[in-house]
Amino acid sequence: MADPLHQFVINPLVPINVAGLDLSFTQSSLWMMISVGAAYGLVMLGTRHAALIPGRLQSVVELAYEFIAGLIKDNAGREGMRYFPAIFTLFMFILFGNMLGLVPMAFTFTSHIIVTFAMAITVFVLITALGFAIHGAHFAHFFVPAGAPKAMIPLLVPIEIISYCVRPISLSVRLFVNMMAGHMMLKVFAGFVTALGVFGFAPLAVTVALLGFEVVVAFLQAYIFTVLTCIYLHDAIHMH
Amino acid sequence: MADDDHDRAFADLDQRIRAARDQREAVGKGNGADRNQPKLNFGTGLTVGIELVVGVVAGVGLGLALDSWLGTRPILTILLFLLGTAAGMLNAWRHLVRIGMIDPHGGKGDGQGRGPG
Repeated sequence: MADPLHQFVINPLVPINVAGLDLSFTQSSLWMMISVGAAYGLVMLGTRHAALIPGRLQSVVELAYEFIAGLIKDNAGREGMRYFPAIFTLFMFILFGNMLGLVPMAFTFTSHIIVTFAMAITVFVLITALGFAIHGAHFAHFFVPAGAPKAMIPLLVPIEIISYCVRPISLSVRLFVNMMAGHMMLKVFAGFVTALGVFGFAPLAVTVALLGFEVVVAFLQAYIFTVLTCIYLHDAIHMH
Repeated sequence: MADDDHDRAFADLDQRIRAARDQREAVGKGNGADRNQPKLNFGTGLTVGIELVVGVVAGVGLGLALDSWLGTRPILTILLFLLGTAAGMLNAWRHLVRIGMIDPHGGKGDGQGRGPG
């Protein structure tokens, strides 16, 4: 049976070596570019006419805009709308990465923890910097729970700091685990289809169901990543 | 694409916009009511599980790294394991509060979950 992990192997398409560093253009990079291109193309084509009564494509773009705008207003407050472009970009990039990864023969770059971690740590560093930029040194008070007894503070502050610092890890692990597990499961069941011969219809039915499930997961994980980014943004702006 | 924009489509546009707004308001009210309900989905369990695991793993990992650097094995590993576990539980707890499964002021939450009290 085919190795379910084989699909995650990175293949360099254009080998680039700079001073001993492997900066090759891989199929992962290619699919990132395709995702960016597809998201850009969708938004550009959708807003080309800017019709009063939107056509299909424009409706999709407006729906995406309204969805993310609502998400930010609900979770980060009105002040969060200043960061709409960044959050919209993040959501579209992850969503297209997840969705395009479901196309047969495509590569899912969100199934690599280094990709999701790079996104999560960028969000984390920028939001922490934003917190300090808005509140100055007062942002450090974020780590002291309000109303806690003085005797408990030496214990609570380290817990708060650790719980704050593991945010990028949990954010990236959640996305990567969901994408990798889903694709592995699909591959395992798809492998059974040929291995079982005539009885292959049973795993085929499971594969079809799983693929539908994966579409939901692909959207849900992009949504969760975005919602949590908005919640962290809320913490940085309002400090609870 | 936007080939719906015929002149006849504009004839009763005001009326249709008003009707759509009324309808949307009604839907909006429905959403408002729904928003008080906890947002339970199959992602909830996995999310909380990952928060717990990441807290413990990050605590132990940081502890091991600091111990091998400072040569204090196993004191910091034990300490950070405990702190990491607490941090993981705190994050999981906050997530449950956020989705409305737990009332942070004690007692039963809106959902099926129970508060601390």
